[in-house]
Amino acid sequence: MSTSSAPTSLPLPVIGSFDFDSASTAASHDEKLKRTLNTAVLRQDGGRKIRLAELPNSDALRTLAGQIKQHTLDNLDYYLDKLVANVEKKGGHVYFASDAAHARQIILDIASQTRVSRVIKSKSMVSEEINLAHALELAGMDVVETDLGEFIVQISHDRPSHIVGPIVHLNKAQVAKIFSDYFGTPINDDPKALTMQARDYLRDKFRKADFGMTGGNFLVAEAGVVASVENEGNQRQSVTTPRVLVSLVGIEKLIPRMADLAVMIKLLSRSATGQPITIYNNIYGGPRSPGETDGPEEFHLVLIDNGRTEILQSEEYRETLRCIRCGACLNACPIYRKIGGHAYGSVYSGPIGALITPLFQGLANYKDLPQASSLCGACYEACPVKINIPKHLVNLRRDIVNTHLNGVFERMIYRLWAWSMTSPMMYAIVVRMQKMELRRRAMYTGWVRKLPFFGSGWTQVRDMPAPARRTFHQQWRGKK
Amino acid sequence: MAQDTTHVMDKVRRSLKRDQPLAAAPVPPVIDEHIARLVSSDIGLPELFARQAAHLKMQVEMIRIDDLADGLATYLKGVGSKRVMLTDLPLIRSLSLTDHLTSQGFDAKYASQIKLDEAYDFDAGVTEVDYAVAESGTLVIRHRPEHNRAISLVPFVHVAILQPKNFLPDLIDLMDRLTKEGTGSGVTLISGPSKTADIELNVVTGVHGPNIVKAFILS
Amino acid sequence: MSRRVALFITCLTDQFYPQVGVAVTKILEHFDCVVEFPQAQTCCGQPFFNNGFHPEAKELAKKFVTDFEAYDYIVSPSGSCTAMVREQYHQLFAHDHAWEHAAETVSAKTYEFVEFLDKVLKVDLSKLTLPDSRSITYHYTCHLRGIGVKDEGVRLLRQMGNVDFKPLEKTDQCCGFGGTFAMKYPAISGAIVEDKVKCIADTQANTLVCNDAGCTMNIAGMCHREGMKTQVKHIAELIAEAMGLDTTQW
Repeated sequence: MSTSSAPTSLPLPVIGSFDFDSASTAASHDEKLKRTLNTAVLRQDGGRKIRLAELPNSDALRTLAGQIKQHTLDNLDYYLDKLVANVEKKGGHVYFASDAAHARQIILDIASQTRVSRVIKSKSMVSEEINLAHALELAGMDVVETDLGEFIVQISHDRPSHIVGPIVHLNKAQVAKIFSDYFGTPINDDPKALTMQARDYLRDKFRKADFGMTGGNFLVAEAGVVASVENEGNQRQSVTTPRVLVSLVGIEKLIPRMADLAVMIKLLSRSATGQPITIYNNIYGGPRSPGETDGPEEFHLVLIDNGRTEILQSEEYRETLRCIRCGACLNACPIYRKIGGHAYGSVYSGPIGALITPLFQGLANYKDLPQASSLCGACYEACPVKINIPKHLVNLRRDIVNTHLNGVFERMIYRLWAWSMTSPMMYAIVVRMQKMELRRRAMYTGWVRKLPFFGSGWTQVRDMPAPARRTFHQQWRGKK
Repeated sequence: MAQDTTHVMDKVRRSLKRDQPLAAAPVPPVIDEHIARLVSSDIGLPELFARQAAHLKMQVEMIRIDDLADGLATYLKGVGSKRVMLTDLPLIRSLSLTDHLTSQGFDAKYASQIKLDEAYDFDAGVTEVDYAVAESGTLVIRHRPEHNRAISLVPFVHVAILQPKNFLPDLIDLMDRLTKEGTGSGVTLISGPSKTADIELNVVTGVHGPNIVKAFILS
Repeated sequence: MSRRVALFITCLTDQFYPQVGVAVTKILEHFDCVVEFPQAQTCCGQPFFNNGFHPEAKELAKKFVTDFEAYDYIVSPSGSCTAMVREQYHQLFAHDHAWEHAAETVSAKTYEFVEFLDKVLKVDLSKLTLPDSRSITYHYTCHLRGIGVKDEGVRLLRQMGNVDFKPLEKTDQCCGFGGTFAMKYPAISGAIVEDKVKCIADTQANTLVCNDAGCTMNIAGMCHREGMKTQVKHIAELIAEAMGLDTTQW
């Protein structure tokens, strides 16, 4: 049986020349992926709608949640100061990490100073962002992901494909094979049996762990606490057994008051998975109090920037930092439903990923993501904090044009086309030319089967109807 | 370390176009209870809690305080528990539940007398609670010497004893209490047995936390 | 009291489905509107706005405002173009003191056809009947989300007789058109429209109601490629049929 202590060849987050086109094309033809994925996300999206209907006014509550997050971002300096003071008052230590390398170093330093080596890690997107597990393993520590989905990702050397459900791209047969390969046990695809096998293995790790690594959904400034949601109990284990607890959280996760936490809890799991509340909501921060027999002896909170202040600076894009990582937009997105999370080539996938990945990692590196959207608005409708995702995708497209990231030819065509629309006479000429060409291609069937140049993308997949013999403009002229 | 604190905080301030800290505290948005509150009434909270908890697969039983000791023993026998740990709290002490369970053949101890690693070998944890939120069927536990974290986490069965004074209508009320009373070294909200749906959305309970959560509501 | 309505035909409907324009005109006239067609109109600017060419989009938006500001109401048979005028013109003209007010006024009186029938004219179609019984399903076009329209079209459709309504699974999932998205990302767009067409086939309806020329071209194009006999129609065409209005001539 292989252990997780040897350094693995985990793929690092890919930046630079990620080939979205190939990845998304391959994924959209993967019938098995689509079937597995859609069963999960459609159920969760449907659950969201049902559960939100239980709230007295879910639309107004989402507006309020958005306002709370926006207010916090607009005053982030004040609330960060407050948070730090309150965490330290409770006996916790606070660190600010400017980027991924710095965050890894801080955590490695804490680990070496406290002489820990057995890490139990609970689910945290930001730890994926900085590739933390890999760094801890390279430093010789035994690191195990304790969230079931993340555990399966770890032992199969995969990457998570969804913010909330990391293995939404795998079916139970695939999971069974992964377990059989890892544990050397016979293949059994019963989810209960698989879960119990993981439970026994991880329980042993919990008992022996000396270092707990967690993320956090919210940081409450006035109380100096981290608030996290989960269903399994692995995160509770992280704040129970190990003597050292480190929480790594993005600076944008703050909210002002405990009262705001009530609003967020009411919206978060309803939006994410269609549950009224997660099984556990853990509120923690600070070491155990004198006389307690469990809980950490030391608590360290690492607050990470890693590009967030750049986004904060933009009054336009600041709103994207409201995200509470619920995954509702992924579940609602017609594109995500067809290509899954891996095709985005980034830790953050789906509509929010299409926004923040270019913002964090550079638009030049990810210019396909804002363009691969039909702007249908399902994400905006689903977002519990009302981030206007379609609007920002269009803004990124505007940035692509303004920074010449698309080709000069493409820009020229659009500008010519726009110019031709500025006068009714030019419009009529262009329309006439199009009509003649398309009707010629359609011959007598009324349908065009093949188009050249940009049009080829259309006819690759579907036919195009031929234009009418006379446009409405022309027909109107015959009206008395 | 201090260097980077200033560095990130400076970046935050500059991003917000501020060269010095805010003079007055900013005022966060008002939370309109009409849109946020799900439960306003004070009446019938135990019954509402019971309904919500049942949806979340928590077992709920109304019981009179005189019947609690026997009811608890019967229940624990029924689920096959042999080793039971209990929180060292006033109600449990006053009812001598630990002694009663011992007399019924259980290996019963106060959690404070058990080392953390030993707790993993116990079958059931019996606790009181600080609050029970009717809106969401949620048990609320404050971590402190008399009520440790492992007791409601590591055994297969968690039994919670709820008293009338524990009930709160809504999560808004809970957060109000936590604001006034503080959060201490931590607070855990429990709304059912531990579960996962990671494998093809099949729900499996008893993942890393208890498989069964049973609430006795004292009338 | 007669309402003065300007018809905003939209470039795709103009070229590919002019009969929808005729149907809309005749139906509005039936409900006592005076329908005019500002012939200078060309395009609301949506393709340019969506692709990041905002100065170009703004020029077309100014033209739109100029062409349409004289009317009481502006009605369009396309949800996405309506949403462009109602939602995005605000962004284009923000801080432009010369144009802001005129643009706000025009935005406020621009309606999508179903929306106009339901919310302004408050029509009752229950006395209408289609000439023969038809099984009909309905696709919720995406941009209606932005302007707050949901089931109104289905409700109006079902008021009419001879409508055997079949609910569409995943009715509010995008059809995959998205303008130039359909051409730029054919594999993804193709997978999405394939899903939509499969759901349509599962209803066994012989007609799909779809109130946006872009969606219609996309879905009908896929139906034709797959050899399906399903007809894709704008609700205006069905209402016109029920009213006995000829959409091939005036």
